[in-house]
Amino acid sequence: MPEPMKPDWKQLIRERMASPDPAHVIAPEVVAELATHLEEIYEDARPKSPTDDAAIKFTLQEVKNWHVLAADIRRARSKEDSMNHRTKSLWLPALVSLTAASLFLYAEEIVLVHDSSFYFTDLSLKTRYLISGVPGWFYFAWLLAQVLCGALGAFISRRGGGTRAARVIAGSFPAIVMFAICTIVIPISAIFEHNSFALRHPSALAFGVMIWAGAPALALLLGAAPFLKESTLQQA
Amino acid sequence: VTKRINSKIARGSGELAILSLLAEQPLYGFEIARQIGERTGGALQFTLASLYPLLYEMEKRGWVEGHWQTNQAGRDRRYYRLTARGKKQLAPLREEWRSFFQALDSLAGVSHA
Repeated sequence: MPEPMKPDWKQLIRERMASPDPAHVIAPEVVAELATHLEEIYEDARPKSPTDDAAIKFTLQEVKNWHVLAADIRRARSKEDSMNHRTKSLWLPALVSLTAASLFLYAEEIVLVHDSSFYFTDLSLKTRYLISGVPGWFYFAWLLAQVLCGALGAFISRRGGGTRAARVIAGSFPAIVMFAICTIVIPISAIFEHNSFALRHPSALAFGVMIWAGAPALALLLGAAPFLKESTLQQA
Repeated sequence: VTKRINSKIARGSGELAILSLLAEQPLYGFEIARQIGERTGGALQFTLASLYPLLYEMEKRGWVEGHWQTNQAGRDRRYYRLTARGKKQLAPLREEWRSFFQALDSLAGVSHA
């Protein structure tokens, strides 16, 4: 009887735990140890399984998500604690995307719009700006820039070993902050400051939520989307 | 028939299970997982994905240390043994779990359930 084709466990582990970041490459001694473990499970399962394929399938059930295992092992072996991991995979990329989005808006307002009486926040009060005129063009340019900001946040989060949820949050963080400002901060400050305009015109606030949080969220997520998938190597 | 314990509870008890086993003799990963499964009647089961992050974490804390050893068949295995620091952890961990079960028992009567 011919000897069955045994998987190359080391190669399989290297492929499934591969990371685009060279700093995240799993150490050869870990690959060797995990390969030995899989080999022993496979040898244990082979006599009890109807086919070799069934034994391989049974062996591979040991790991549901190789990407998560790679991150768990990196965390367990690194000197950093889980707080640092969260900072690297969530808070830092979120802050980067928020800063990039804010800086772009600030630069447009300061450098490109020379009319000092105009503020971009006017867009939510004077909707005609959105339909025609230079401010509307600048708004759409900023919206386009959100695609890059979302991509940047999700990319840094993925590099930091962030989960898919962390990458979504990091990528869309500028919109999350704007949503919180429009729905919590502005209404509360309007009440405390007796801002009669804001209190009498909730539709302006709703429009503000739409153009400063809703539309940017879509643009940010569009940019983040390519980085929400596992890398090609990890799916192999 | 022993019911398999929820993975979150199993993970929490993993440190005690591994330290207790290694207090008896040095073992390699596959054998640690096998013995835990066998000696708990299948109630506690560790997969590769749940075992190694825990082992590496314990190694980082200095509770266990691993060393490669080749068996007679020529297979390299990484054996783990308890360190002095790991031995010191065992008694307080056992005490902690004993107190936990007593507390749970007085609350929910688990020992007679």
